[in-house]
Amino acid sequence: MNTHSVVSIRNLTYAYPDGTKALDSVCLEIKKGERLGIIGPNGAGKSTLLLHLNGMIAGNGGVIVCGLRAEKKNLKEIRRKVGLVFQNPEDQLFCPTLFDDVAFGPRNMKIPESVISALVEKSLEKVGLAGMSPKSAFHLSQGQKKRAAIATVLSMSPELLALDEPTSSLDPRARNQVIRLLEELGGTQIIVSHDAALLKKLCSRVALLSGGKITAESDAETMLGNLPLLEKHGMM
Amino acid sequence: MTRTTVEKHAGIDSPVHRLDARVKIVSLLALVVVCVGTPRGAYGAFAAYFALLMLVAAIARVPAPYILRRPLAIMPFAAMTAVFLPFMERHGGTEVSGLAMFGGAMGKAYLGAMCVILLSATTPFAEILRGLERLWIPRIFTMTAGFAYRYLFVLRDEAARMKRAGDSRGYGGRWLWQAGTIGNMAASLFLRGYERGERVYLAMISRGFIGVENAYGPARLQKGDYLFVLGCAAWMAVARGLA
Repeated sequence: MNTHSVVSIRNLTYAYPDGTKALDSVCLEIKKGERLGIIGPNGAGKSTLLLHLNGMIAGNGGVIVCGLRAEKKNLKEIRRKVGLVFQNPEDQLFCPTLFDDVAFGPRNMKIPESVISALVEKSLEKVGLAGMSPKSAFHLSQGQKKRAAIATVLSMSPELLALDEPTSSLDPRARNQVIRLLEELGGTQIIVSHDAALLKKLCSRVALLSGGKITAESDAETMLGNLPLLEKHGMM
Repeated sequence: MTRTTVEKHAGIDSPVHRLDARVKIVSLLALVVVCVGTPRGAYGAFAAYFALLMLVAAIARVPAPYILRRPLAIMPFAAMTAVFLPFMERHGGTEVSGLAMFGGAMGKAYLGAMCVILLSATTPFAEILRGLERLWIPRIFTMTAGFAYRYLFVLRDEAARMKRAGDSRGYGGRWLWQAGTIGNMAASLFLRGYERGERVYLAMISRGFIGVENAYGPARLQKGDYLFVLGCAAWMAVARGLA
């Protein structure tokens, strides 16, 4: 493993309990500070791949994240270091108030309550939702929910942000806000998205996942300009 | 009913809203218990309980029509149970008419519902949950209640969208032979709810969740909190004494 790699995946294969192969010998390296985009048709295994990053599911092969192998004894540490943001914020914001949602991770990490409130406010401020902590997710707009979902992992100071479709079902303004936010946040990010503008703006490298395999990998411009390739994999 | 109407008055700033949730929960629960234990004929006592609730509502600036009308929603359910009272065998030779028993039960149910409505109109739901936790209710219960409240309206919206999608394809759902479709909708709502549960759980463990434990330490009660509890207790004692 390259010492500068935040994520190093070697020959990862995963099949669902019913035998359907979701990932097939996937190899992937993400360097520190790099933003990697992942594109692919529906059902290609993109979300499944993200779930491997913090050991939510374990396939065959090596997954090393932030220097830790994704296995049982490291799960606690890995889940602190990997901020996984799910596609539907409704699933990620499950507490009665936004405060509790953002404090959920830190509380599980046994951070004292006295530190948590500052942490929550700071995280909400970063995503442009300062002062909204007493609100319920129910009262937020879709764009605000997406950003709030990002705040729920920022409060855990992750070393890797893994985002599943961060701009899906957003109007152009909300979408731009999320893109700008991800740009400002920096750090190492892995972004699963169909949003060409987002990929071009944020990602230095884009991988195409199709049928559980990484079938191509290049810079965003080249990848998104390769129309025959995209068409072949149902992306056009 | 939407979530906004449920919490419509919980955001008001008033002395009652500022009270610790614990004292409101305990006082209003005590009122329910005392009310149930008051003999049926003690009209003076019931009037006093009613007056206490209206007084608290007035201080909290919760509109009277809201407090009076809201409990009516549960009366049909109370009536379904109480309707059997007049026909039940009476022990101890009490010379009370069945109708009086029915009326008494309905009156108590109404006052009890008023207590709950007043609590929810003066306390945001999150505060009620926190108050319950501080009253040593196990976190697993408050968490479950929190989830139910969080997703109840999400599910309701989902059902409404599903119905709209059906209606826009000409489905009215008025006839008996259409009941099968309603069954299918209910089943797919259930499945979606189940799948959402799975996804929420993933989102929880990916933020380090390993199990429930009581997280919140006790918070100090203020002078006003004690005053409220004592005031309510004194009022109830006097009212009960009248009976």
